[in-house]
Amino acid sequence: MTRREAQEILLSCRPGREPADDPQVTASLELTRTDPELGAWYEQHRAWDAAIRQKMRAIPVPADLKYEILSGRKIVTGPAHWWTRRAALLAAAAVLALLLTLAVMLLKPRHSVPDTFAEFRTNVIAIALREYKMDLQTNDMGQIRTYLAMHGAPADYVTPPATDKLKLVGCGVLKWQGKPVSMVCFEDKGARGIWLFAIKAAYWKDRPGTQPEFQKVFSCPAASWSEGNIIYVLAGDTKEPELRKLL
Amino acid sequence: MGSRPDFEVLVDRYYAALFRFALSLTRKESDARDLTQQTFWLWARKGHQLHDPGKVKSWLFTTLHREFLQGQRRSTRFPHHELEEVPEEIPSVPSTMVNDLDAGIAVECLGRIDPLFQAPVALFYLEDHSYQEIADVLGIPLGTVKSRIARGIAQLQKVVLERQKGRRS
Repeated sequence: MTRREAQEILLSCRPGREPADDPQVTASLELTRTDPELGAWYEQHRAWDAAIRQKMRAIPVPADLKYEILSGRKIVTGPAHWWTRRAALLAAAAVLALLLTLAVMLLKPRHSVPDTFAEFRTNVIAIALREYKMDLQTNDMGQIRTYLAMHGAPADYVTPPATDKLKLVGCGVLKWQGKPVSMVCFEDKGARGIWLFAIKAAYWKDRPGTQPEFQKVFSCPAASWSEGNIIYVLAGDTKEPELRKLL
Repeated sequence: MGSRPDFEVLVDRYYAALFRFALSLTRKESDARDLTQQTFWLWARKGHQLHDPGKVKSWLFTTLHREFLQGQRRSTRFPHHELEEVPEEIPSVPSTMVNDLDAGIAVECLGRIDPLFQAPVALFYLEDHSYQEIADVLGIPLGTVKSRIARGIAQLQKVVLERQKGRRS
């Protein structure tokens, strides 16, 4: 283990409360005892942790907030922000929907987001990274296929052979331009998320070929390929060589 | 499995922690207040659907985070920027530098790190959430929680260092 790897592991731990059952953490802590430079860094990190924690917990809370919540005052009188103006928004949305329906019939507007494979790939990976929620949590691929089929998403996908070495954790159904997208979720040995997306779409000009093509989307490596009438994207919170091993 | 907690007890127990989490996400007091109230309002309407009283805390933080994300989604598209890896050189920040910060500036510094890392780091520092609880609140795997906390803290340290250097020059 290198000094840098140890630092990265220790950054995610609460100093003084490191998990005793994690061999990587134990090895990192051992290194702080044998590597003076790392030891000094860790001492300073412990002090940083205590100081920043104390600052964050000192964020003042408005004195009347509890009263407002309990009295439901702002909720009753009409909130001022987007997440609480539901009723007004719903009414406005109903009127808008009516107008839009008429406009669609007359103008047939195009989607604001280009319907390309590149946009699709970026969008689904962004969703997995930022709002990752599984609709079904199970390690049973049969249940996953049934669930996806019930929700109109591709269920006859072919998983890359080496993904059977990963832990299957569940699935979700996403939407792209109104079309259902299957998201099959795995975890690697480090419990990092790996996602296989599958969509039935044959019309994209920039659709990938049958051999996997690799790109980096945000910080994630992603592999894309077509097989039959399904287009696949395999991406994960991992490094590209690790992803390549799965294909 | 215990009984359902009384609303007032629940507010008393969690409103401050929820407000601080909301402020770390929105960085505006008025928005954080509304988000906290909205969370309890949703609890009042839907909390009865939760069968396990042991998961109330997780439900509240998950709901607040989801409401925040929904608001974000309405107003912005996903930004197309690269996420930063952990910097080559992990900075070492003297604790005296942190002592110079007040809570407001600490939140401001947190707001300058990548949005993807803000919530995990806030939950890591604000409350004694376990890694599993953070994973449940954010709906991401355990390993991802740890790597996002590590990356987020490294970014936060960089922001604090740069801020302090800027003040000196």
